[in-house]
Amino acid sequence: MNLITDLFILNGYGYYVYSVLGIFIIIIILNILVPFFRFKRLMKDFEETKLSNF
Amino acid sequence: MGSTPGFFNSTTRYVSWFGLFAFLILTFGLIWGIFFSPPDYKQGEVYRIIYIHVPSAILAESVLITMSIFGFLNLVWRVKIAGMLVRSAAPIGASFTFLALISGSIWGYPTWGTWWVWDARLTSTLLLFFIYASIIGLYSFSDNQLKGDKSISLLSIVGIAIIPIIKKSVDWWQTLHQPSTFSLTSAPSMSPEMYIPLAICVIGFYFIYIFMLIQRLRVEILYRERDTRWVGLYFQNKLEKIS
Repeated sequence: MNLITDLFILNGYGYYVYSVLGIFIIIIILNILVPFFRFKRLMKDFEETKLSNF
Repeated sequence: MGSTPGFFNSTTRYVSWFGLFAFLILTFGLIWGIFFSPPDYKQGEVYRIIYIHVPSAILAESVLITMSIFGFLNLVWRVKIAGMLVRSAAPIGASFTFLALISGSIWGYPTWGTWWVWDARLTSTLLLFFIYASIIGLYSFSDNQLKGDKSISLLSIVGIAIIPIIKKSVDWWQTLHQPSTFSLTSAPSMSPEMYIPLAICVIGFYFIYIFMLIQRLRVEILYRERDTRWVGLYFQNKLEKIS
């Protein structure tokens, strides 16, 4: 139990370390999602406008 | 490299591998660094922010260096894909610079007693963020894609002047910021138990950068070539697979 507490609380500095880790994860997810949704939009545009003429 | 369909088709095979490697390397490096490396003798546990702060700061600079190299290729040899790459890399560079600034600020509060100081390293990194913001702004407001590519290529080449200033800021001026963690000319001052997971995190950051860059570049290629036959065939195949 003590080991787990030490690992996660990090001597009271866990808030700082985990906030940075959280911001990092959010930034990475956003950077992956933005092109993904852009791709989805492109495909939707193609489906709606061009498929009939292609 | 010059052919966009060629690049698109060749990256289809290995883009996911970069993502998988990045995930595995980063998970391993961050778990090792945050949970299993020893505490620092001076800063205690809070130094563990280094495992995100230093790789993001290195990437913040590396992305601009990549952009200026490809910007040069775009301006001199008019390599079409190089302009697209400069455009795709800018938001990633801005993200890493933002992460370096915010993680440095969160680290600064418990160690320096302040979230921000107008220190040479911090201010020059903030300028780097503004350079990325200018590049993003410039192409967002550009009506002509080719002219937009040229403008951002030129700005990337000019902007690279900030890199030696950031790198040398801790040597040229009196700063609160500590000297560089990584140096090509001297051995690391950290113990291997701290240094190895940091090096692993840096490698993982490079992999995730390549992965995100290829993803953005592929979508940029599809967007710009959306009226061509090969993109039409690609989308048609995708839609057939889904239905």
